[in-house]
Amino acid sequence: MFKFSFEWLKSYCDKNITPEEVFKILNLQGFEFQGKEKIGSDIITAIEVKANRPDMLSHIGIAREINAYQNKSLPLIPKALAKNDNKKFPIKINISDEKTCKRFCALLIKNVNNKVKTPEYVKNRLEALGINHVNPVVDILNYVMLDMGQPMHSYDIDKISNSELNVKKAPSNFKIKTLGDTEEEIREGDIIISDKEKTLCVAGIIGTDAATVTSESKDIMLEAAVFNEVSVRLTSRALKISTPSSFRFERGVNAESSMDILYYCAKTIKEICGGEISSEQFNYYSGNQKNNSIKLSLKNTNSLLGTSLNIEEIKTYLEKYGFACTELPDDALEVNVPSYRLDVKKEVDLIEEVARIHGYDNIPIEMPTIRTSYNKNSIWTAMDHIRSILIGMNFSETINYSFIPNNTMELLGIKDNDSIYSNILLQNPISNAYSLMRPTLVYSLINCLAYNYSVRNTDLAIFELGRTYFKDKPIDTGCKERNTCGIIMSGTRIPKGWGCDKEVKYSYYDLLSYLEVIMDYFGLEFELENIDYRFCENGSACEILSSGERIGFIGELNKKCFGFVKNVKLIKDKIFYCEFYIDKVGFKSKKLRFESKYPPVKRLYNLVHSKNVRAKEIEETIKNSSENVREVKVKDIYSDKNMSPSEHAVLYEVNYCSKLNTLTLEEIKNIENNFLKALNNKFNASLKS
Amino acid sequence: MSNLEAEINSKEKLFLEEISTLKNINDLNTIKDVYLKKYMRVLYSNLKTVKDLEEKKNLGKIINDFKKLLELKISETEDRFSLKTTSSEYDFTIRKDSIKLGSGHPLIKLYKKIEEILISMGFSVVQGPEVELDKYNFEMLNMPSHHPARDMQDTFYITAPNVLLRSHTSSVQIRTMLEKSPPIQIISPGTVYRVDDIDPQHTPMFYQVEGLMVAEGISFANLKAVLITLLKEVFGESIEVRFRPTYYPYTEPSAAIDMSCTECGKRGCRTCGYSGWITVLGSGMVHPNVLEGVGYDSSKYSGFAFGLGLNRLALIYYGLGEIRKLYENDISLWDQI
Ligand SMILES: [Zn+2]
Repeated sequence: MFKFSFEWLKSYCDKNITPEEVFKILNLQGFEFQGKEKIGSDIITAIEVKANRPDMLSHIGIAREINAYQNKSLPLIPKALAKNDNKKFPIKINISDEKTCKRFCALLIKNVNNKVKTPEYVKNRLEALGINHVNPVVDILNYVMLDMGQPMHSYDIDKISNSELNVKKAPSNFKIKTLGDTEEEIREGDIIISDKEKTLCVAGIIGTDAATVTSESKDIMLEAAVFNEVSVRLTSRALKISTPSSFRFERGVNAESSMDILYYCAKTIKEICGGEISSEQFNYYSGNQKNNSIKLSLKNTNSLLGTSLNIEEIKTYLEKYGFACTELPDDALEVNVPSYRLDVKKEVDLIEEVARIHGYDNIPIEMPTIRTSYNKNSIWTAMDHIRSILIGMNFSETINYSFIPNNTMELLGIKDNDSIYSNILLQNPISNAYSLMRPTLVYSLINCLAYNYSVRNTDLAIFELGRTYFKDKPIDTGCKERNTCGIIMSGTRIPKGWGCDKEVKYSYYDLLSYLEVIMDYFGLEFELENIDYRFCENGSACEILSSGERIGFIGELNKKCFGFVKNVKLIKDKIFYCEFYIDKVGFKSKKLRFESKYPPVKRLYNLVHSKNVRAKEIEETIKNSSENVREVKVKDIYSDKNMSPSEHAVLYEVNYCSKLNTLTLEEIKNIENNFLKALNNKFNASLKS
Repeated sequence: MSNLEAEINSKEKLFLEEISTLKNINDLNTIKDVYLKKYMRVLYSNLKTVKDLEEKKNLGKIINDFKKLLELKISETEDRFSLKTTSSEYDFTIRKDSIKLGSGHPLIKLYKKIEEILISMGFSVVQGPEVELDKYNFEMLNMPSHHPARDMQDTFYITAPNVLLRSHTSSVQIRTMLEKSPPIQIISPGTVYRVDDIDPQHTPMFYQVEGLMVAEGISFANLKAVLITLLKEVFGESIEVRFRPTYYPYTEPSAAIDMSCTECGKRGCRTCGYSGWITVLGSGMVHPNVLEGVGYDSSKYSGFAFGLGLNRLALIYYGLGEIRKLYENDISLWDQI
């Protein structure tokens, strides 16, 4: 973000320009307006400057953009009357290498009077733009930085020991005191500027008290340098100090204009504080002052943009913005990039510039012609189907955070050899409650259910289609992610009324049946096998296995175990939960069976048997008793006072049908007697009296 | 014309006037009594006194016609006051609240609208990991370490600096391009993460869809056409779409895409921050560095990419108010949308 003063900007632009015009132009050119504030007669505006355009972090930079848009001449930085002789410069400056510091310019002003008052307009503008007033020299340095973009620093020469400065990387970690007397840790490799004895500043970020210019200072040295961007960025991050200076260095400062701006700044200081500017300047510039010129092809421009511009139009556009162009014979331009446009390095950067100047809205609209083959995403489609099926069965969809409390595994008693265990933790979570990448959706869903009870949405069946995360070394990220469907339900499924004289609660058998519906849709055969999960009620937890592979689990949740979940106490009914992975879709072929032309007969049998006997075993015994038993279904299950606690009554419906004839009562009676005898022998199951 | 006939005529006029201006049901009973009972009795007794057979026959017909008219009008009027009970015993105004669909999550509902259109334009859906490598989330997207643009996305780390939670689904595009050669036409929907505390307007998790089209000769004009079509299909033909320059490291030229505010129709309101426009999409031509990085010849192939964050959009689309609510899952809200 950059804040600028409208009055200041106007000094570089058309005198009649209005703030509205300025905002409009900036917005159209990609600099988002972020707010404005009226201070006195001025308007302070904030715009967003993206990382690619550090040249827009100054008033002159914004003025260039505005004037170019309005076809006016671009404002220039005055040239320095430079006379460089580094050997004659009274202070010996040693630059360690060009990677650390690309450019270092310095000059001296002797006999300044830094006790004068900073001019009001300087003070006011700095204040309006959020920079504290210090003393005239420092204020002017800051002012010129906001004006032209070059951060600068000043030193009190008398405080530099031995008249020698070193620009180098810190050889080891040590502590320093920065301005404002706060202690900071400098790490090995941070760029510092020091003399023989002490550190004078953390390059490009902040100074120390050691050689700082105060109102007492007489002879001063001004510095305008360009330090390594990445280094400034890392140091600034490590110190957690961001200054207007570091903000600019991180993004890039135009080394080409450092000396000009430094000289301009010195002249301004002289005008205000008096003194004499030294005739020699120090100027270190690591070579490459060569022109940045790029070839731009007309064909490439038009084919990337879908335009039909001609070479003259492109040339006019670019020249307006300060790019010098020479026409080349093969419908191309040799484009000389202005030094402040650090972002323009390749042909495509110029094409973007052309698009921006031409106006995105002036680029035609044309549907592409492309031939790609259809790629089926069966897992994605499966998830869509599951979503539709569940919503169709009155389940509601939720999305929960992927990270859960870091101690969830311990709280739920999930052991590290359980398949739903994981310990993938975030290194920088927003808090411990959002820190473990969930290996199961059960915490998320019970939490969500409890939240709903707290806002009086009771009697719910909800689901989530989300990811679960597991450690897996061979995968490049070290993490296996599974698309998982979690289902949770509690409370009343069918309310009382409309012929139902008692409400029907969600039950374990509902959950099993819902699971069956979904698995059947995808043609997945599955089996259940008891498993011991502490967070489930005794004996209710089962693993879901498909072709021998574990694909999920099912169970009645143990509310005590989830006591740590907020509002869980509000849920009075039993809570049923199941989750399964959607990483496989089966293909169970389904065909119509031959149906008999004779009418089927249905009979109900209320059998009392041990709870250890599975309904499936009874069903199979009945089926195997005769080929004329077509189907056996469970219609109800219950217990009453007359039964032993280890028993329950199950109501079976048997469907008889023969392909040969209409079954007689006698025939049915025979089959019935057969299987009742078998059931009694095998399972001690008998008809309820 | 006989006297009687004339009298019936004037009675008829009187009756029609009375019945058409009738205000309540009780008056209808009076009319019935006056005309159908009493007056008819009078007429029939009068008829008995007529001697001439021809005349008697004629008058009898007139009286009968008049009676029919009375009955018809009275019956119509009774209908008007719904005096007759309906024969059906069912009250069609009653519903059982237990018979209904569950509700979908608004983020998914909105995403599906978008997906449907993109799939019909030939895009395929591709998924990728949420736990991602720096390489695919940043580096190969032209954001080497220490790139200033990384500031924009504060990233969650599993093991810094290499394993992180993806901050956009662009990583899926990189994985796809590394696997397949052009032409490519994909969308990658899913959850992405950025470090942000949970408060009414912030969440550390977002739902996003990104798209990518790479082939020979794909241009910015194509990008415009596809995205304008998408927005108009989702938000209606009447919206306006504008393209603004912006910066993303992985595209160039890059464009921010605004649509006219659906709440205020560009007049300016709270939803659009009084600007009349809502930024909905980030997009651009895939940067040649990205194409070269996955081994594509950038002088032969070009393409465009776009990304759309659904959270803020869902807020506007469904009038939800708070971003946080998207992850609170208050089902009574979902039921309404
Ligand atoms: Zn609006």
